[in-house]
Amino acid sequence: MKTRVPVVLAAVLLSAFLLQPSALRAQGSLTPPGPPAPLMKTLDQIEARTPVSLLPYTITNPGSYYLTTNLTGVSGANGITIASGDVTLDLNGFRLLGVPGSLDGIFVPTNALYLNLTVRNGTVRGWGGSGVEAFDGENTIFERLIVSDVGGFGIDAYGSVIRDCQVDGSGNTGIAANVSEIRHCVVENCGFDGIDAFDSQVSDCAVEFNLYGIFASPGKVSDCVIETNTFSGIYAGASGCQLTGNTCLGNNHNAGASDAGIYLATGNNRVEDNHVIGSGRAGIQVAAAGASNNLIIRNSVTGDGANNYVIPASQIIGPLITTTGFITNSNPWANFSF
Amino acid sequence: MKTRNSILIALLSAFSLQPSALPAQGSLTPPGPPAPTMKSLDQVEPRTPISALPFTITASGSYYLGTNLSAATGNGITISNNNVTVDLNGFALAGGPSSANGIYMPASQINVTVRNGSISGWQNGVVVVPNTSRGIVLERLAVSSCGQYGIFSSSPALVRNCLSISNQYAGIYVFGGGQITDCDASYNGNNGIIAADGIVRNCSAANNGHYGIYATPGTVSGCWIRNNINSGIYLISAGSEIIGNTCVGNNSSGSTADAGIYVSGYNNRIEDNQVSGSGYAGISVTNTVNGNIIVKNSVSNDGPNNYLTPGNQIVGPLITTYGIITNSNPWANFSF
Repeated sequence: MKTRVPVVLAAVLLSAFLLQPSALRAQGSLTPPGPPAPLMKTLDQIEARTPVSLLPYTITNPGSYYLTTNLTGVSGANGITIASGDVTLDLNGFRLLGVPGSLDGIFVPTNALYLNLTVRNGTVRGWGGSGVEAFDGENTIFERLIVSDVGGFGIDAYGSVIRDCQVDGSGNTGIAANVSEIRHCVVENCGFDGIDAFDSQVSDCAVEFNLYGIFASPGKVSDCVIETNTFSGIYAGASGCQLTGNTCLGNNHNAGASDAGIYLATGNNRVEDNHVIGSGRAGIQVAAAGASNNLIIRNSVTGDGANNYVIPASQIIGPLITTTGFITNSNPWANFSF
Repeated sequence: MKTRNSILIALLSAFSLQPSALPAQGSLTPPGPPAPTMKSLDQVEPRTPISALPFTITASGSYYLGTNLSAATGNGITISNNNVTVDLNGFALAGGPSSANGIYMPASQINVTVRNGSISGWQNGVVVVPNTSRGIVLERLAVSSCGQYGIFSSSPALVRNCLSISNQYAGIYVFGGGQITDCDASYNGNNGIIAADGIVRNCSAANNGHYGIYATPGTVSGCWIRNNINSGIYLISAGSEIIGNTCVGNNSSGSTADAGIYVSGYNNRIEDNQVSGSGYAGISVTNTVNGNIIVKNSVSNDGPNNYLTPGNQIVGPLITTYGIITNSNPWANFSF
């Protein structure tokens, strides 16, 4: 026997289906929401910079480069050669490690005059040559670098800003800079000078256990701590230096006759508001010949007795306050000697 | 039959009564909804890449370069919205001979930062056109070889840790306030730094073709200014402080309208500067202005022109004699 579904019932069911709101339909709207939108980024967009994965490496194109791991050099070669302008090299917290017989960790070729170079953020260590040799770059930035135990300069640069760097144990000068600014750096245990500043400005640096502390020729040196260097703490090698607000402690422990806590080899310099302690042989000294018109005011020097100030004729110097107790001398230019 | 049924019942019971830990598959209760274990690429790098020039930013957000970009004509990156950061990501924006501006803000914007790369070869490296933008930060840029300005802002801007060299006109120009700090502007064809109503601090300006620093007016302090063809610091307008700067070998042209520090405005304060080896004059005030305070400076190597201070200025006495300073006037200037 066949059983038929009543027609009325079928109609009711069909109507109920057709009259339901579209929201109840499981498949949703059939109207496309719009053109497909990009959902992905390429890996090159995520990390657009060029990785440096092996040494020696030569950069010949402008761009941004970075390390992905510690890298070790090879004998007879530089680590990374920058042979282009407009280059940023981010060591990315990794190390460039030299080996015996290696050359410079980072090298800008001679006479290249590449502009707009930046190197930052890592360690350069153990190279036979310099840590960073960039004398032939210009408009360069070196920041947040640790350079240690290299045979040549720690950092050698021209037309640079060098900031927040540490240099330890370079065979030659720690930081050698022409027409540059050197800020917030620590330089120690170098085989030659801590900082050589030619036409440069040095501020807020700590410089210790080098041959000379800071050699300014000329330069503006301010707010530095310069300690226990073999020869002068600050050596002014050319006219026009301004040496202000520095602390020089225990320098010239070799007691050289042409050195001091602060030594002026030339004229027309301004030495002001420095504190000089326990230098070998002399605190603040001006060369006996060929140096005149140096202004020496408001400094405090101690620990060298009669040689606290060794000042020949033809200089301008504030009077010395030498007595302990309450200061009764109201000369605003007075130096302290005790 | 009954025995088989009993065994089955016993087995079934034994199975049912075991603790749930004993079944090998573990608990059948789901531990919770599935947790995400991945990051999307947009979460890893959520910024918008700039892949070609010209590029116009019309939406707020963070943008970055993924490669060096160049343009032969027109502008490079135009910023036309507020709250934008552009990170050059260490890459270069290079302009061709007929190009316009590397970074261009033609309308008033708020909170725009551009950083971290090099810009060279444009007519102007960075240009902020209107004087009504605010919150402009330009930092860690190396700008060079532009046809006019390296960095130009008509609005107050914070320009810091930038280098701007070898541009045909000026290295850095900021108008209407702002700060220029820890910058180097050297070897530019005209002025190193031009600052109006702002602060220039701890900067270097050397070997520029005209002035080292041109302030109209402003505060200039702690700067190292050397070997500029005309004045090391040229001051116009009133109300500036020029303090603690070192100016060596400026005005090599020997111009009589220039000096190591040249003052062409009223009521400025020139203090604690070291000026030496300038052409023609050390510190010079034009004879048409009054009320400038000139104290505690040291000037050398311009002889009778160490200080040229005509008119009604307030000048500390000059100490000119060698030896122990007996002049106890705290405002004295040194001239030797």
